[in-house]
Amino acid sequence: MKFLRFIWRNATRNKRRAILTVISISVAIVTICILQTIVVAFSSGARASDASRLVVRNKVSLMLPLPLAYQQRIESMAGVKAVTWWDWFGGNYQDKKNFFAKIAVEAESYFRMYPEFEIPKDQMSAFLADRRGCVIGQKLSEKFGFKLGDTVPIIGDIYPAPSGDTWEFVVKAIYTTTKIGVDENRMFLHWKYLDERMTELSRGGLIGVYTIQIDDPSKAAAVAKAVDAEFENSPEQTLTETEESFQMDFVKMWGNIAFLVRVIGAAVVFALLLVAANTMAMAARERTAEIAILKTLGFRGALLGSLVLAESLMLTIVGWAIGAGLAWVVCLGVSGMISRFLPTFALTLAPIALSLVIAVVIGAVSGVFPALHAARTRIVDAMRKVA
Amino acid sequence: MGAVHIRNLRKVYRREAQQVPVLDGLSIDIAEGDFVALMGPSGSGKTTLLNLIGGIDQPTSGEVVVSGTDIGRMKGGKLAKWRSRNIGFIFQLYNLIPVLTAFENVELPLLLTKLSKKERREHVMASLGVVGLTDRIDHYPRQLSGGQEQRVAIARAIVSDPALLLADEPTGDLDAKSAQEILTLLQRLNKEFKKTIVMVTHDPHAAERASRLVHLDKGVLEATPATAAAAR
Ligand SMILES: Nc1ncnc2c1ncn2[C@@H]1O[C@H](COP(=O)(O)OP(=O)(O)O)[C@@H](O)[C@H]1O
Ligand SMILES: [Mg+2]
Repeated sequence: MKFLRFIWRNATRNKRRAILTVISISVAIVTICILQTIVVAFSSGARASDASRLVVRNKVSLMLPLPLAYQQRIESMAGVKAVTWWDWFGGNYQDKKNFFAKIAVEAESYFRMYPEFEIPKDQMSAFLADRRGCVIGQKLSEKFGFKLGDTVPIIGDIYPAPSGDTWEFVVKAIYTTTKIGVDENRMFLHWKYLDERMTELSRGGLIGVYTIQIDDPSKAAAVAKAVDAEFENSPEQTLTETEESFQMDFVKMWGNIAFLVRVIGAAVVFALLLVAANTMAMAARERTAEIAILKTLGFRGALLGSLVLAESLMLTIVGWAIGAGLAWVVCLGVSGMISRFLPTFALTLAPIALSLVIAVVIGAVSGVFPALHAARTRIVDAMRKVA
Repeated sequence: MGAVHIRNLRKVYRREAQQVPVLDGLSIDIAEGDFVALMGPSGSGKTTLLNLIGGIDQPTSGEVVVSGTDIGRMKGGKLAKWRSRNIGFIFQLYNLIPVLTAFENVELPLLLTKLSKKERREHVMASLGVVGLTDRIDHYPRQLSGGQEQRVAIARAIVSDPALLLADEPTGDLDAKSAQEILTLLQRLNKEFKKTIVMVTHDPHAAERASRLVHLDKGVLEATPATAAAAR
């Protein structure tokens, strides 16, 4: 492309303006990439959910338990295929900073219902055979160096330990996953071990949340209604919803973040468009006489217009490349810090591709009018204006 | 090649509702290899005439035949292509692209051809050799003197070897010494390289360098006797 150098020289002819334009594009692209990554991370939990699973929780609060006795009643209801239950264990490994989710599960039924946690058969049997056993995610095992057979001490908070203040769990299995959005940083332990301890404290027979597998995802709403009706007159009323909206309850704590993020993103894109369009408009206007000279030399309008358009695209694409690179570095740096809130936070191809599309569209839109101006400039008129 | 044949040329500009006739039934013949100086008061239509000969403006009526081609009827892209092959332009001001070096400025017309990079280089160096600036190829216009800039513009005008050169007050913005150099160069292009040249000028000394002098007044050519310049 013999005109590439000419385009580049034109794009950088006013150094300060070119640098400022590229910087503003880069900053905007970084912002867009990171915001988009946050949205993806927030919604990944929901994406990992399964339409055939319902979550039953205490109607008053997610923090309050439900009786274990509900299990059989739910199981016998029409449309229900299987029931399992689990509880948020809380607790800390050494220090509050070392956060990861610890979940007490009814082991057999839980992993049958959540095949996305992939566990080798022999490890699974070892876990089932040891009530002090636990299953951890591959990433968690890498992060803290936990190996099979290691004992992991957890300082209890919600649930006081059997002796002293530390629970001890033995790593019996390590799970991996191939499903997008599933977190590999969790620890699962036996609910029945927890319940033994609670029974000693006369607080046995309580569970956190039931998960129901239903026969037909399209009947989810009807089953959910039926479950809640079943316990309408019981001491603990229930709230049943799809796994997806259950996940979203967590997200709602942050307000409607996705919406906010999109509004901010749109504002950034718009501001960027103004910056780029202004740069190109100024560039083209200053060059009217030169465009006339080039036309005199035989350059056609279409070629000159393309050169202006290419110049505009060059600026936005250079800005995009710098911005995307920065976003990648920032996301790598930040993901460690915020993995506590957003375990699946990582820059993926999608925001990078999206921001490239935005950069190209902005380059094209801000270049198109100056390009038309260049293409349409009449030599004699342009010469008269400057003479 | 390079001969100009003009018959009953009219050019009328429209200014608001008014019609402003600039050239009014002008006829002239310029022979191949001629060096014509075009003089006349400001606003008499010299630039307009030059633009019409060069095909960057279109006549209202009349006939403009350059190197055997009737360009009055040619349009747009075809005209642009014809221009790049047959005409070299030299203006008073704003000739060069400031972000390109002398070499790259001269190379511009060749970018529109199918020539290879190596061939382009040969042509550019040859042209810059003619104007005596091979030692300035990497200089940008702002690093050149006015006279040097104008020589680069001439090198660019001749790089695709057109038969006809059109110069609109090429020395109008130069000091006396540089102006002399430019005129000498144009004369050489005329004599040695057989270029047909039409040069607009205000300067009688410049006009003397031409072989023929034509006066334009209010859009009409004045009968000019064989000039002293031609005799010289
Ligand atoms: N594009 C145009 N629109 C309107 N009037 C024009 C245009 N070009 C030239 N003119 C008018 O035509 C006349 C001749 O202009 P020009 O050819 O530039 O004269 P010169 O070069 O002899 O000074 C002037 O009165 C000028 O105002
Ligand atoms: Mg003029």
